[in-house]
Amino acid sequence: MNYGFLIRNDRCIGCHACSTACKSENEVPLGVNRTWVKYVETGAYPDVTRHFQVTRCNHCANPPCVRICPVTAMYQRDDGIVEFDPDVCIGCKACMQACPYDAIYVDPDSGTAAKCHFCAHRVEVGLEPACVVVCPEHAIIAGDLDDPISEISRMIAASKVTVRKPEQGTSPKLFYTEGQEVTLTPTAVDRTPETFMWSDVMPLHGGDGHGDGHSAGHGDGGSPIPSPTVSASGRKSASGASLRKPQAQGVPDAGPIMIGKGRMADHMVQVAYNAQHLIPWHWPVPAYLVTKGIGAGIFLLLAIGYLLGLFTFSATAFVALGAVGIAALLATTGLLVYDLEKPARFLRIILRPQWRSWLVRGAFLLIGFSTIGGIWWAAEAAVSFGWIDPIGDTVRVALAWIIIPLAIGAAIYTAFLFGQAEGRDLWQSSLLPIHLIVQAFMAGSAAVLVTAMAVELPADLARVATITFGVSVVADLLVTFLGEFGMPHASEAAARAAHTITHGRYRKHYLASMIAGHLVPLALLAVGGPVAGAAAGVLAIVGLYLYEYAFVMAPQEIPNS
Amino acid sequence: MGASASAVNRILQGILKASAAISDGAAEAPTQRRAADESGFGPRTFSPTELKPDKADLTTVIHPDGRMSQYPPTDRWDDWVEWDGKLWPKRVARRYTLVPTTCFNCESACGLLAYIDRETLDIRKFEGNPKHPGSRGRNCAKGPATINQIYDPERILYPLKRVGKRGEGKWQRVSWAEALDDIAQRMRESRMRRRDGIMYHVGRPGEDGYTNRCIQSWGVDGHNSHTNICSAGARAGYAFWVGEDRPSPDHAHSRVILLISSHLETGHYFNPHAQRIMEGVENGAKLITFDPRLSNTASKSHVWLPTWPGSETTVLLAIANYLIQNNRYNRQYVRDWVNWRETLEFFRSKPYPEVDFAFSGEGTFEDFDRLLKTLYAEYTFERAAEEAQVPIERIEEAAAYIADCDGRLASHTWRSASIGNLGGWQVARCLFFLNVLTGSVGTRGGTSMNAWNKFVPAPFDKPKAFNAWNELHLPHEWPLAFYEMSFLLPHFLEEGRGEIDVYFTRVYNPMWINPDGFMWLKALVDEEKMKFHVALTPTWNESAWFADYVLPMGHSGERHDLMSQETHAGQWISFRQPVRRVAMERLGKKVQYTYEANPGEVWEENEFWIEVSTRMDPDGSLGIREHFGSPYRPGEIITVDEYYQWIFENSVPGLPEVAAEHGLKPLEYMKRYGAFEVKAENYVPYDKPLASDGKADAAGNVVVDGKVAGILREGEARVGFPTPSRRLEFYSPTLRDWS
Repeated sequence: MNYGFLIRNDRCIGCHACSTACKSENEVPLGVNRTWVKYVETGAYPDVTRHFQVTRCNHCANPPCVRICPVTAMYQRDDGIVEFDPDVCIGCKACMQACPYDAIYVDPDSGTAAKCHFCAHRVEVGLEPACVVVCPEHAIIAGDLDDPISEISRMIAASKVTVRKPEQGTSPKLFYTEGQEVTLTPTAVDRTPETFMWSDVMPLHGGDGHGDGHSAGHGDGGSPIPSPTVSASGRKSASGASLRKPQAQGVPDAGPIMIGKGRMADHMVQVAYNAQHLIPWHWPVPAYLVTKGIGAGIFLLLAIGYLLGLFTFSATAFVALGAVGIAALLATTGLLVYDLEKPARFLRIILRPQWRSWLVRGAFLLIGFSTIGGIWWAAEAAVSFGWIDPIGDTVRVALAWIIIPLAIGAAIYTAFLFGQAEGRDLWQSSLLPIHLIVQAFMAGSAAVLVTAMAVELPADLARVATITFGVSVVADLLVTFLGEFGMPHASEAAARAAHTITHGRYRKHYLASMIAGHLVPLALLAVGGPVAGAAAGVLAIVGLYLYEYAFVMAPQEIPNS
Repeated sequence: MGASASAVNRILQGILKASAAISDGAAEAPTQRRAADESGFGPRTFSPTELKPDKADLTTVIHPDGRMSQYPPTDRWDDWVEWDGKLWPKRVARRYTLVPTTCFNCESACGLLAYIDRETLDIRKFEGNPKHPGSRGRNCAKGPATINQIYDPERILYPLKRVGKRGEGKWQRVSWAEALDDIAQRMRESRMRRRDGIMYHVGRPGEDGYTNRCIQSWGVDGHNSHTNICSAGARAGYAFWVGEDRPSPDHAHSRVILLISSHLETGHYFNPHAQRIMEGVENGAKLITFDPRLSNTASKSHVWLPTWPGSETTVLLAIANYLIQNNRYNRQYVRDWVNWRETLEFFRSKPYPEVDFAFSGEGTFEDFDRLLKTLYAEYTFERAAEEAQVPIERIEEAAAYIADCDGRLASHTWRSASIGNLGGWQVARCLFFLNVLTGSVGTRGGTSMNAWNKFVPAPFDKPKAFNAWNELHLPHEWPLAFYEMSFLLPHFLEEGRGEIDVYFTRVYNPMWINPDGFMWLKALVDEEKMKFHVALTPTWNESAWFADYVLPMGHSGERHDLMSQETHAGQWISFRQPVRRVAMERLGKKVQYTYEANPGEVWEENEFWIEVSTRMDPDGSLGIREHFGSPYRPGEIITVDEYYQWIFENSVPGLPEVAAEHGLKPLEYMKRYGAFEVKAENYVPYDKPLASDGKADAAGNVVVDGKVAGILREGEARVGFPTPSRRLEFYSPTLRDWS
């Protein structure tokens, strides 16, 4: 048994009966949709038409939402249905980042992830899904793709069908006849036009109380696609034809599907209705990246410096800096839990882990790192208070060797988690592990420089921190400019997200991070002295937050439906 | 800061709890109690059951498009167990009783099936009724959404009486008895004085004749409608042609579908028509749509004509002209059925000297052909394209398709271009002209008339016609007004043409629906002219705000009505029921009045009209009460069950027999299945042999008692059309005589 859907666009009349039948059958609250009909209008009057697309979970054969779910709240059944269990879900919203189709939402009543579950509760007793039964046009066909004589198999075999975004490697099991590229391709239309037919456009960032600083309603956000221009290069070919300037790579003017000038009233490609999706992750995620970097960076600096003999071991310094590192790790955990829609269920990550999820792997890395770091720090603190005998170098060396891989793991696992986010191409960067290590050194050494204002650190330690800081700031700039944003991006979604950071909504964050978070600190280092060093550290940490904020937010603005 | 603090608090509390219960899932404790509110109206609850769903032999509806859809089998409707979709994947079974009813979110009268919890009696959902011949188990978005209306937290639950000034917004809850007595007394006083003082003003009635019968029993000219800002224009266009006033296209079997409407998304009868339009398209029909908007229908059309409003008639006549000039029209059909002889007689006297069609004087069909060619010559594609501002190629393409329709042109206009426009009625008349020219009238795949496909069974008693005329409805200076001039009512009042003693609004919000709302506001607050206003409504609306009583009436799952609609070339009836009442009866509870089963004190109109009518005439002296006597219990007042029992037993051909096959009485059958197919097909009824021995004259008219009773075709007398000539009236003597 292998359930799938076929949507017959040749029959669909865009009446939304499926949307309301689903709402009624599954008591889906207001404001969220398990299935909806996207409307896209194309053409120039009088040659215009409206395309409909029933849009919902694809019940992928290779579902990324299942892989990323830390607690098996999202799972794939033997019969191919991708189902969810609200009683298990912790509300981490990772599945929403993993889904490249905007199929998943957080139920406002339960605070847990939900989506189309193929009416599994009906299918089990032989009833077709509610949307199939209600459809006046038999435009939705549900059935067994493994059975060659099922209606869906026969029809797919005999028709031209398309799926959404096969390039994501998810193997969607929702097929469309007469699929339309402008409807299938989310970036072909504005994510948030000024209005929809018969519906208001919600602010993309919502008002969920987490307060991201700019949640005011707007129709300007979404994917900031440059206004269509054909820019002449001023050059001519041998024949005398005027030549156009090459466009930015991956960010074509007027979107990935250019029909005429596209998107203009006189030649339009516009979305007339779509379900609206709020951005799932806000400031706690970039903040967690920063605190995690500080914690990992401090311990890396202390352990590596100690092992290499770059500075003499100072118990006072270790206890002070370790305290900062542990505080940062506690803050990291606090932010992670705070960002859950069901924070009370956070222990389930440990108690019912789904090991393919990097949320789980990362949680255990963080636990291991915090435990060893905590033991080491507690031991050193106890020694300095005279509660226990001094620990020998052997123990210290062992602890340092153990903590280094854990700290590195804690710093970079997020890269692998982001890599599982199939819906955010920009995050799926092979540079990201390196970048996170560099950022950990940068943030950790910055924290050391700041701490030096309160606690007197040995001079050699301060010097090592200063050098590490300077080097990591430069490295971070290189990784950012020569890597993340210098290299072209493999997909249009990634390119567009990067464009949003460098030229769009997050441009200020990006510039502030680069200038105030990197160049100014380097200048302050050149000035020298502890105060300048501390100021440089503070600026670098703030700059890192601004960068991470842009990096976390921008890809979420690129539409997936 | 406060938010963060509370979030931290929430986390800490959660952590404490989490260690105790790792699985703190939606462990709802379903209660068997109704909500504590005395209205019995509140958050829905559903009861647990030990039973488990099993794979029953589902009811498979095999649709003409090859699809099979599955529903609970009818023999299990009484007691059906299903998993709870919201709590899934937790296996929580729910036990329902399934009661069919009829949707009331437009006039299509599609079937619905209510899922009612057997313990709590809350309604879980509405699905389609697989036994309904019109909707065939399927629905539009408005069908399942009925649940939102029933559980609308802002609905009106109790009778309200105005206590401040009209429109001041001060209301007092009163008992139904008080309201009924007060209203009935005022109606009685008005009726004693005159026969035009009570006005029942209805929008979409959602029933076929129930209330009209009551009004007739009061002996007053009291029915007012919204039709004149709605379908009246199109109705006139059809009526002068064919004697029936609404089209009933057979989309599913057509070769060409021509819509001046957007029936793939709106209108009557959206869901039944949309199913059959796409069925026709799948079978090869061409879809042509006139719509100035880029509607969904326009988007799905093979030929979309975004005609400039007002130009539709020109485009239609250009297509007609194409058929006529190129002899692509069905000459035999026109010869058989159109009153062309009468037309030529009219032209014999040269009423329009400029129309010179070389009349032979003999009155042959060739003369008529020449007349057509002369009359329509000016309607060229070029002219049409210019007026309509559409590409000429599209008009040509549409004309070519229509010329090839082979007697299977399904056309439809309902409101759109024909509403409230000067000459709007001509849109329907010109549209139907194409049906006449192509011989697509009442044929398989053609366009029938409403009366052929809509079945309205007679009730147990029909009060005598009364001798009264309400000048506020149909003022004498508009003799051709097709339906009441209802949108002018406040203007008539303003001019001092009359006053209203008792005014009912129902499914009608005149302040909102008419173009001049402030004029209505003025009338509604004028207690001299609008002496008493009773709004019958489930929810607030602008006009109800200016009522003296606001009386809550049930939604589609909370009332009785009997409906039929001309959705396709067949006939059916659909029974609207108060589903919770039926469920309670099934579960062995006694229910005397529907409001006992409804939320709060929500009534249904059927019972309201019986109550108000009998209270209006307590001693029978007005001759009203006699029309509300039970046909089964002499001397007693009729119940709603008895009203429909009588209809189903006596007025629906075939129903008693089919019910008996199921071992049911007719009323039981309708309560169980909700719908009945009276005729599966009904094509060209006008071609039926005439059961009369009248003589045919030279013109082929069969005359009985000095009136044309039928026509001669192929040597046989046929019943013909319900027009004065029994033919399709290209030339209308009615219009001549009255204008």
